[in-house]
Amino acid sequence: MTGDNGLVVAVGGMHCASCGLLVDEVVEELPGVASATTDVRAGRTVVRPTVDGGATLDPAQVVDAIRDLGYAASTVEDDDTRGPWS
Amino acid sequence: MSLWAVFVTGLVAGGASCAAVQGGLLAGVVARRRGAEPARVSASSRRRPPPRRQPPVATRADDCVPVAGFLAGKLVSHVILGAALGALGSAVELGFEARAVLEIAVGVVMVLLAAELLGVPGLRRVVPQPPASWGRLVRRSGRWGGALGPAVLGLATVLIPCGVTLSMEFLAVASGSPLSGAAVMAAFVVGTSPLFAALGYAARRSSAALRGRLAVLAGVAVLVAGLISVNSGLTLRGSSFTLSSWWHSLSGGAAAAPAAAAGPVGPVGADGVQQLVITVRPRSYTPAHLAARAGVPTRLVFHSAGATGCTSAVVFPSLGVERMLPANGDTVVDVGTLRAGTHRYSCAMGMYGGTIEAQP
Repeated sequence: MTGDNGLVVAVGGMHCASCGLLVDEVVEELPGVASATTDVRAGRTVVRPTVDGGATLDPAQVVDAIRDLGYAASTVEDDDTRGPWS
Repeated sequence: MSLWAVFVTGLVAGGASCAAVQGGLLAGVVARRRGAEPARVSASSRRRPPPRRQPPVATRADDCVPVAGFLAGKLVSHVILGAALGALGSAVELGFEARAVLEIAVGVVMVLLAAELLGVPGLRRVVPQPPASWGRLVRRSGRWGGALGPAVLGLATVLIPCGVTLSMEFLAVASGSPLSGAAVMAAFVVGTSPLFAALGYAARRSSAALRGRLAVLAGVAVLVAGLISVNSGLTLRGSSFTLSSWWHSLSGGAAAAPAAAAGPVGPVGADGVQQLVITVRPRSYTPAHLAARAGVPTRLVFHSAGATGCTSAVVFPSLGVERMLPANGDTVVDVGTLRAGTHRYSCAMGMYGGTIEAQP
């Protein structure tokens, strides 16, 4: 969900810091995203929306983008973080 | 571990766990530099409009330039780090016991990493994570570099080692010399290069797909490398619980009993000292099994015949002897009176070795 603290996405299948950087890199390219911060150890990404009234952050788009990288992803309400290697 | 083992570890495990992901980072740097906005090709693109940039497919001949620049930068920074870590190992003068313990510890960590790669839950915290600020620095580095962005990004990846890379860094410390430490890291990075070059930065999605398929293979490779490292450490400590010992036990025949393979006990010289000659070659000590008399003053003569690489440093844990040997020529070591039993020896990395059977 997208609350005051941003959208929290559970990410599965990350093994190293490079994975986290790649997720941040790709999510920050999405419209409506101001920043993304991934904690590999916790297995989650916090996505902060832009505040300039432009594009709107789409949680499904964020999840899709992360899944496209080969990681399992879901917003925190879901329980679908298990990937093929997690 | 030998440099070949390190290379193969990089080839399989490093390529799958590190390079494939970093290929995605490189893709971002290249895409930004070109300002390209190609269409998205993933399955989800059929459901909604293209929402973000996707790096271009590498079709031009000069597409190899960013990959080469990235790998060159990565190689330079890792070789420098390896030399520094080797110098650290040299400065603290790690004895063979400490090196053996370090190799065993590295092996155990690698086995745990392998388990994590193979999907065993609860092991994510085994891998130390670099500070978040280092990650941000890596992301910015590719943007600072302009045309040299890929090379700068490659240099910066030294700040975000994966678990396999960290294991290699421990081995660089254990190597005990700047040159050996640099060689360990160079072999590892060069090992990751073929897979990285094959993947290039064609698409992040292809990198992800390949990483998924290779995750199990990477896990198995890391597991094997970890067991080799543990075995090397045990060999270095003179343990009888090594793969070599088990192989001797299982294979039967003369090899089953080093004492039987050691041949007859040689004569004691007029000076009351028995002399044992071991010929040292790049990949062997000959004879691998020697017989000797216990309770007699003993002199070891290492006859180097092109002894380069691992075998040029020999260790006898039970005798407290460690020597660096020249490539050619004889090195004489008086080891005092041998006690009865099996005295194992090996090269400093635990890869090659043999025994002296001291008979009452």
